[in-house]
Amino acid sequence: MGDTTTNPDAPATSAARPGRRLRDLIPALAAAAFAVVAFVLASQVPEGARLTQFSPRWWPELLAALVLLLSVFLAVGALRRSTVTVEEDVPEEATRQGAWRLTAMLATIVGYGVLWYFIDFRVSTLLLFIALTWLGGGRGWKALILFPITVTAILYLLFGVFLRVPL
Amino acid sequence: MSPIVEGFSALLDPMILLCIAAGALLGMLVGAFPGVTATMAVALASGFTLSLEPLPGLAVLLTIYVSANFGDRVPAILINTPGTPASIATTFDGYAMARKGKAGLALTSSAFASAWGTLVGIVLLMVAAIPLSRLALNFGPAEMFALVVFGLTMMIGVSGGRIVKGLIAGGFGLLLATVGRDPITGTPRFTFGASELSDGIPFIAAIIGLFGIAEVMNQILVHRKGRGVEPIKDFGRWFPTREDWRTMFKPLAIGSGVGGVVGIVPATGGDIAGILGWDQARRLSKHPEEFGKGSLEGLTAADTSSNSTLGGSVTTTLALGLPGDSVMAVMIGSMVVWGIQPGPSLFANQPDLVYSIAGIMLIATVVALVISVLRMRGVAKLLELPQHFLWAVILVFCMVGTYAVNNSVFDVAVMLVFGVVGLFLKRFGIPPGPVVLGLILGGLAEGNLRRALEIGGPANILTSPIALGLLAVSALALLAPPLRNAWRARRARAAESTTTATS
Amino acid sequence: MRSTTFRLSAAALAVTALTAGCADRGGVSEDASDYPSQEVTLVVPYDAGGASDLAARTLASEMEDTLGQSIVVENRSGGAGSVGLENLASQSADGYTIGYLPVESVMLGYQGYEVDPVDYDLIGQMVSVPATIAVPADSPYETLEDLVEAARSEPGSIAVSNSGAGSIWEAATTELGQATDTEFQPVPFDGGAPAVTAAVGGQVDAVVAGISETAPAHADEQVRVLAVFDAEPSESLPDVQTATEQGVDIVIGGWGGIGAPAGLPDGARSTLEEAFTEAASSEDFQTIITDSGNIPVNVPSDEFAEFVDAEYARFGELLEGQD
Repeated sequence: MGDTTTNPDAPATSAARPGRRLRDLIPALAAAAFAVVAFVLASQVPEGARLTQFSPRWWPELLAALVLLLSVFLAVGALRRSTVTVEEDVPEEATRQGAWRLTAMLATIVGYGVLWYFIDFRVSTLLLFIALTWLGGGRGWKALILFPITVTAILYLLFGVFLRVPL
Repeated sequence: MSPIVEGFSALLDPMILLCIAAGALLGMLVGAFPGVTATMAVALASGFTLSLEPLPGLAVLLTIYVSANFGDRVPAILINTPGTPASIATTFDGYAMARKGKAGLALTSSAFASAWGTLVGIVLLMVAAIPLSRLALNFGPAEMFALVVFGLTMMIGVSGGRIVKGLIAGGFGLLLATVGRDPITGTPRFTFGASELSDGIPFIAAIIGLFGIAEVMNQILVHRKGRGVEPIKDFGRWFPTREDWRTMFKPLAIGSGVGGVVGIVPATGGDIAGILGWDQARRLSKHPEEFGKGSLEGLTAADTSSNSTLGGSVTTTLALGLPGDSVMAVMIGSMVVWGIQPGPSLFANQPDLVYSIAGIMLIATVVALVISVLRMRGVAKLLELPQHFLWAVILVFCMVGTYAVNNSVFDVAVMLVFGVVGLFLKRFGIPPGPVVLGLILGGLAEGNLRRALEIGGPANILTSPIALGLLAVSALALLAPPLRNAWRARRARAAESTTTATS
Repeated sequence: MRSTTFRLSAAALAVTALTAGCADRGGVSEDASDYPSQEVTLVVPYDAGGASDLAARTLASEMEDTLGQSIVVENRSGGAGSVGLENLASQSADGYTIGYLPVESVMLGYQGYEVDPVDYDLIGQMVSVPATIAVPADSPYETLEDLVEAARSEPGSIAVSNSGAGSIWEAATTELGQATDTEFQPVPFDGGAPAVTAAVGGQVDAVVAGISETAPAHADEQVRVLAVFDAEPSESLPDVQTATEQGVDIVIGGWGGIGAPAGLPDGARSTLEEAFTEAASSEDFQTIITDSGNIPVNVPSDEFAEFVDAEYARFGELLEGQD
């Protein structure tokens, strides 16, 4: 089979084809790994002490086995190219700048989580907004001062004052 | 006739109208805020309203309940983040419509569909409350399990054609739902000793992560200077044309039917109904292939269905004294303190109150619809903000909103982890819909199955006609499409072979 | 357009600055005599809106009057209440964090959670929720005796719903089985209302739930309450005998009180106890608790401590004996 059953909807470029195969193989592998881990963990769940026909294990074990089966199916399908029946909306390509930016933003957010414990919500959130806007490409006093202060104030008013959430 | 007149005229008090106005604004606001659910808003507001008289108090709470189910559509359509779980299904087609430059039409027709759905629910409450709620009593664990199995067959529908990947996603969601204490024995499963996990994965945090955060992360990832996925600027036309109305007619009918039934079943609410209504409309549509890609039918069905549950939930609550959904569970607490004991005797002792409640919901629907249609443009303007503002606002608002649900930093961490998971799913073409469906229905499926088995073994399910009927319908729903395809393929081949033979 | 944005931001800025100035929560050096000098936080280990939350909030607003400081209710739900209880135990014992202690605080320790009653200083008990057992309205069992007989003839055949695995109502079902030398089949549901519904709809043979959940259904003749597991008959179920009156000597149920992290300074402790007693005896509090179907009580700290010790020992036997 393989190369002869070309999907007519597939982009004609040669680079697109292995990419599409990987787009099935990688999730198949991830799902299989997840299922195996889930199965092993499920088999270690202590049996309930109560009188019951069904232990807490059987449902997760059943699901894990099912996911494993499906992931094998997906992997085989990807290798044989026979189960791809629809054109997938291939996502836009990631950019290097985008990847860097995303990593930096996530790191900032984690930093914010740590900061939350130590300093007041209003200060840390203000800093977070400044950092995120800067990383997103905002420059100038409006983007880096006026905007963060305004949204922090709105957030604090809505949650801290109005909904009385302990921030 | 007189209880109707009495019940409605009790609402003419300006104080009550003021309460409805306040509730509508509050409800729209919290609805539009991802993370803050109607349940939470009603719970917090009940702290203030207990000091009011019952009717004004109910006016505030019920109006929040109704209008939160309008406000939550806005972020679902504009930023792919359900404002409350009830608008999960709105994201399926609403966001796709917005991406196609039809955000204006999506927002308005969503508001009209939501209003229609709410009205159907209210009529249900006024006309058929007691007989319908009796029906709900027949739903024990066995029947609930069958209903949930039927719900799970929708996984294929929300997979957008990628069936194997969709089923894997569904299995993943179901497995995630097993985290926490076992529903029958209380044994901890997959909690790794964390007490935060013993009630399971925080559901709202996971949804916001999978939909909203993942979308923002993806936009950041693929962003190119000067180009790329710009936020929606082109809203297109706002009001549905006659043509659009004609398209919306069928899904409006399907959605109200599905939502009405789901609403009456205790403990099920708008989240499940929205997905169910969307899927039923897809099955019955002439253009099922457009569902999930910006179908007006899909959006209409989802919103009608999720809002038709409101009347049904109130019906179950008032007629049986059982919470129809999580918001009503909170509201029962307030009612009891006001001396209103929900239950069959309420309809005998205070029939006017039932009509007052229906009247409040009616006014609330109209007010919420007017606010929606008038103010949508203003709300939508926010999205014309440059990208860096929008990213920061969505990320932080989702984080704070999620924190506010349980005052828990752990929930925020869960939301971010699910954001990364959602990004992975998105990059590899796995639909997030089935994950959420599995997460919502997993606990119900396992809990009710095992409860049914504890009560009477397999016979408990096999002797229930409702359960057997639902299971048969589910099997049919799963098997019909592949069988039909196979049959079509065979016919096509047969036709082909006849043509080759004659040529 | 531009000027509106400006005005809005300016206003927002001013408000932020003002609130920042007011709510300075820095470390105030505490002298017993000036307690309380700042707002007090009350941790409720459940979501807002439930019966426990309502009881705690009502009591808090009454205590505010005596304390002269506001009490901020903080809902920390999750883990059957353990998340909030653990959070409370980890706070500093300065009297500025107190919490709602439900019956689960003496049960969770036996169920694999890090909750131990010695971590709390007890202020007082304010509410009691006796357990009841009820059967569907068309059930053949007319008395507790009938139900126990049916269970004896085939142990485990009587399905009894309750609000959840590990709940006090499940424990009550187990205790009823032990006390009558038989076994009931507990079936946990997701909450008290669905458990009662299962009995109303006839899906189970009986339900064990709090009196506030069964009494209204009893009044509507949807279920028939067979017994109240309390020392005295209840006002909301005047026609129902206690289990003890029917020869089954069990008193069990939910309760709620106020506690603080262990090691409270004496000054703060006596101020809190005083405010508690005042609040729990107020008419508003009693009315709201009674209206919600539960029983308001006002147990002082020493009696409450004895009671909690006894309950802790009792659940130790009941819950550990199960494994």
